[in-house]
Amino acid sequence: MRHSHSHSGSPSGLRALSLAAAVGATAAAAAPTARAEPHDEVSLGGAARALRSPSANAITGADLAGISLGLARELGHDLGVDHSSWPVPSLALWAEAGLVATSATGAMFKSLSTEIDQLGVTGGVAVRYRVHRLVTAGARFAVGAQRARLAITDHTTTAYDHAWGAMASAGAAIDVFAVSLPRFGLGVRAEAGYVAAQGIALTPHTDRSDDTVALTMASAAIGHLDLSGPSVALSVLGQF
Amino acid sequence: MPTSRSFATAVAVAVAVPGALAAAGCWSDDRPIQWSRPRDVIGPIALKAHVAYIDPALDRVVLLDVTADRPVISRTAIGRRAMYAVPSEDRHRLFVITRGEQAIHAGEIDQPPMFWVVDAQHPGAAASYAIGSPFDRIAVSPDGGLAIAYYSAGNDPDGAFRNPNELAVIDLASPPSATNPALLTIRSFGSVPEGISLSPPMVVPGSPDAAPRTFAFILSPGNLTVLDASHPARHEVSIRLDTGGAHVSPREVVFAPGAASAYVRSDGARDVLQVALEAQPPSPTDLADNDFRAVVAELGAGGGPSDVAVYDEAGGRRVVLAATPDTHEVVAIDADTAQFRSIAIPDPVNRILVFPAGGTPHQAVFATIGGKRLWVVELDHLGDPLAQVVPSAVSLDKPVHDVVAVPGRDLALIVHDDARTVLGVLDLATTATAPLLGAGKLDSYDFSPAGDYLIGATTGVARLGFVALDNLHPTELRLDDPPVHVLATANGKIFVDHGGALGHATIVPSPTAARGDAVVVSGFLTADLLDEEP
Repeated sequence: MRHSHSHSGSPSGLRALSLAAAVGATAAAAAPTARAEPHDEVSLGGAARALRSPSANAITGADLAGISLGLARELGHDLGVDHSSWPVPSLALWAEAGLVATSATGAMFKSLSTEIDQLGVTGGVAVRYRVHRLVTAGARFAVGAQRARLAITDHTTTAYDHAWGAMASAGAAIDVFAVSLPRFGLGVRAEAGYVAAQGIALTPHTDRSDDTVALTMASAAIGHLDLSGPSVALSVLGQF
Repeated sequence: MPTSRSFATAVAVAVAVPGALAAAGCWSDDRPIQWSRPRDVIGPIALKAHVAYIDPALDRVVLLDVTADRPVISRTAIGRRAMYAVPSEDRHRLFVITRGEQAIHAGEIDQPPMFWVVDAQHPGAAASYAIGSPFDRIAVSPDGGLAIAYYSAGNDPDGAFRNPNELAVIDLASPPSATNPALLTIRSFGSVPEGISLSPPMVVPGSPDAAPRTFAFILSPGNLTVLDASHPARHEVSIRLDTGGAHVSPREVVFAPGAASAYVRSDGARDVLQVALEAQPPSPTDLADNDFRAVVAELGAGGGPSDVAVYDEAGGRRVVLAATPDTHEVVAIDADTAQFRSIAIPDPVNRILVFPAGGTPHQAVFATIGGKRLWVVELDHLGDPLAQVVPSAVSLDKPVHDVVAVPGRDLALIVHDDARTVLGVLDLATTATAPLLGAGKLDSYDFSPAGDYLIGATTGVARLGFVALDNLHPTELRLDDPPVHVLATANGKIFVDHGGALGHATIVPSPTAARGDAVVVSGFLTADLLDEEP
């Protein structure tokens, strides 16, 4: 039972994001590349995440869907080793930062409308391997934080809450380039992965719209919302 | 390095293709069925220090303990498809019937109809009894030792056959067993039960069995059935009421305190029926024979009683008051001798209230629903044939819609209209009435446990009204949200339910509390919902 409406964040998630960024920066300094290929990347696309946890199933039978935005920088190629002696040549290490905003709607008990809004911010590293001149396979791992907002509407009244929690994601991707020039590349990326998320404690409450002094409110917590689940994404990427 | 490159490509494909297939295969899962069930919450139900809600979708009883400044929420799991619930008389326990279900869709379970006993003082686990049939009514004995589950008059859309004369007698003091509950079908003469009254513990005079036992009086049109509910394997006793040709339907049973007798008021009958249970040795050849017999006597109300009340005088004499609107009389019947005394009252009385209720009453109020007069009769000298009994008339400005006794007080609340906007309080000490004008319809009301306050609410108006019944001083408390239901718990707290599927209520510590003392509690019907495994 919570007696005020303070919303706690997740310092651990933000710490993990900072750590990932620091690791990426260090790697970039240690293994600069000298090849005439794009070193920076921007991606924009759609993302979806299946909600499979019992808590998410309680809220909705739908899955999260929304947009994703990514930034990446190449840290080094073949880890600075002569690729002729490397068993897997053309391997590149990238530092990534991502933003994913998704939502899902649903119903409980045939009478309550529900909505989950999720905003995830991550940082991590990716290993990419050029299978073909126009095709790249990759794997990535990222950590970060996500903000989850839950709204439950009963006819005319909406109770809602939001809070932050840590998350980690891993995935495998295939990049297919339509344009692959020495200084520019344009293609699409298909990715499948999994998001492991911390259960986020939520206490839905209603807001008063008028200016009356409200009575002391004791809102009961609804529990921890776990947004973990397999994810897919399809995005357009540009490298330069 | 073509060999290494081909190898790496093969590895990438070997990982990507199964990975993609695995991701597609485990993309989604089946949502547990309870989240898609309709949810018609039963409640609120006031208990001693708790307020209970029954959630038929999640199969649980939610209990709010309102003892402390902040309510404490607890849950007790019950069976599928809760249908009906009643509290025990001491309001410590809640009895719930669940219909159960058959596993037709994924996630459903095979579960028979069950009777659940939820102890509010020990939430978390409930005792259950398999009752065999989906009964939808419960009668509980005043001492809480026995319950009978039975059918209402409605149909069962989910059933194939329905035996409306079947009962489940549950010994609440014993664990479930092959004989508990006892399922039985009472003898029928073409009618079906319309109600069951369970007696307080009775000792049959002259019986070698000195243990108090509970008797069930089962009311069916044209028939009254008496069952020794403490020994349900024994035969029931059927009393035909329509042998005279008239259509007689028993409507009301009142039990004489501390005696093995009951008084039955029936529609279509000329008199009040007294059913006295007397000892009679059972047949040695019939193991299910009773050790008592029901002795039936007509107490001469003489005019088709419309309401009855029974009380014991301070000297021990048991008196039955019967109103006979056809004869414009009220009859006081000595239950032991059947001698009666008629009191002429010009109005066709159809409501009797005695004051104070629960003790030795000294006054009675006789009302006619729709009439504009009440009659007050002093009861102390009713047994004295030389004492003149003169009813006092209390004239009212508006007709009576309902009369309710204030618990523990010599006061009666008079409701004057359908909308309950005009009320009156009758003070029996002075036989004076004081009008109370409501700002709106009194949709929900209750009395404080001590009977010192009337608490009322109007749907759609975010306000709680109080009337101090000592001096009729009205006060009000502004709420944050419109009320739907107001009730007073036995520990003196006032619980205002605002409706809503999430649970939304205001708890006021007492009728004299200030607005700042009230606490709004929300979300109690979905508390910890996400942390529970389906």
